Amino acid sequence: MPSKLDILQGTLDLMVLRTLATLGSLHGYGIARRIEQVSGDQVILNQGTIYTSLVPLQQRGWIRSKWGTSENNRRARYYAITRAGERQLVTQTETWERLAAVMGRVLASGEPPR
Amino acid sequence: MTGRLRTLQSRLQAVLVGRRLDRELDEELATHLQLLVDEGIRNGLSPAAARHAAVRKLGHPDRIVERHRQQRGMPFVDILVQDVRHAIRTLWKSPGFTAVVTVSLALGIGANTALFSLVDDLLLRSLPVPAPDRLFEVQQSAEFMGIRKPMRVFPEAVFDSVRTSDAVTAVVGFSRIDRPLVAIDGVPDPVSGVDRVSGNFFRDLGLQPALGRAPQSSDDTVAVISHRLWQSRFNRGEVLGRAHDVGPAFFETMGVALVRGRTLTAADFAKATGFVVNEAWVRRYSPNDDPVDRGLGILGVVRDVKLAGVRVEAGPMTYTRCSPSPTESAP
Repeated sequence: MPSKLDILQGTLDLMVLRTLATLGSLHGYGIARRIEQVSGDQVILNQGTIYTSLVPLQQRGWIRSKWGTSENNRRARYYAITRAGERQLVTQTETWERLAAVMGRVLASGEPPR
Repeated sequence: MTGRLRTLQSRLQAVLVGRRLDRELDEELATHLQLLVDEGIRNGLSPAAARHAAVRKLGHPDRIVERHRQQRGMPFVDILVQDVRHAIRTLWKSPGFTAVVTVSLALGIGANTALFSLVDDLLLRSLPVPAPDRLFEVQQSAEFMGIRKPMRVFPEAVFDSVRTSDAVTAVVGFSRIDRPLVAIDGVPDPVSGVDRVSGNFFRDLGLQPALGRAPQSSDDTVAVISHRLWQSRFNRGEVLGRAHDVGPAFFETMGVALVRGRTLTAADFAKATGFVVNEAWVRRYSPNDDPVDRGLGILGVVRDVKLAGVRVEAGPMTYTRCSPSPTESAP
């Protein structure tokens, strides 16, 4: 089994936006679980880092939050994507796909490293 | 741009309500941890093992809180607040030192302020007139090619209407002469600028010349020179009533009586030598003996002529022949 991937700087923001756009309102735990599941447990996610990603997203107005009750009957903060966040998701996704495609082409053009 | 503003606003708020945000994050993390523990127990772990695994999975709460603070707030403000608190505590512990520092600072700031007030009053603010704080300049805002700018030049009618207004005690006018042509002793001399002023300029501004007298409304064409020009061009010498260039038969024509010696003749105009002085000159420069023909080139003495109004004493005068070549200056 290949070793797990470290999350690239900046990609966690995009993953969070994508997750919230798909599933609607979620708390931190929910976001972390979802990312782990979708990635097929391929990424190493220190789940606490979710919260340091949520702060700038909220500061830029891409997500908003409100308090609610979790499934185990505790107070939890639920995050949801905003309109601006959805627009951001579209641009970021395009950028990421272009970057990934370029990386793929560049890496495929040479001899495989020995 | 709005994104940045929003971020700044959010960070500022975070500084102000930092403790509440810390509490909320604690609560969020506690919930998260509990959900992870529940997940572990569902997967068959013992409560203790599930808690252990949950903490590993979430990361250390202190580190999360620290990074959260850096993200949301302004760390330098937090650090500044800590520093100030530390400084106040330290000063509180050594009151003697604090007193010395406080008194030194107070004296320093006080002395500086006092000195600056003095400099401001003496050098920066005051104009050399009796009531500088009551001076004002009349301007009109005018639009020219789409640009609004103050206009300082007015027709004489405006000058007159301002002068008759009750709101002002005196109105003086002045205008700078564009490209002045000035001849000193018959020689064209470049000067930096010439201002034409209204007849009441010196009287109503309360200005007194350092030398001589101020021009009056009755004076037709007289000039007041600046201290700088007096130093640079005249070398601080005699400037009042300087040599008058006269033509042949000047004294006869003007009816100026001859007291001693002779007036300028046609031969003097040809040779370009010799002066005629007036009695005021003699009183001032040669009060005890006859100046005529003492090797100074003085040919004769004439009676004083009052050039600048009947009540004004005539100053010392030197008359010399008018010629296209530069004349010698007065003795």
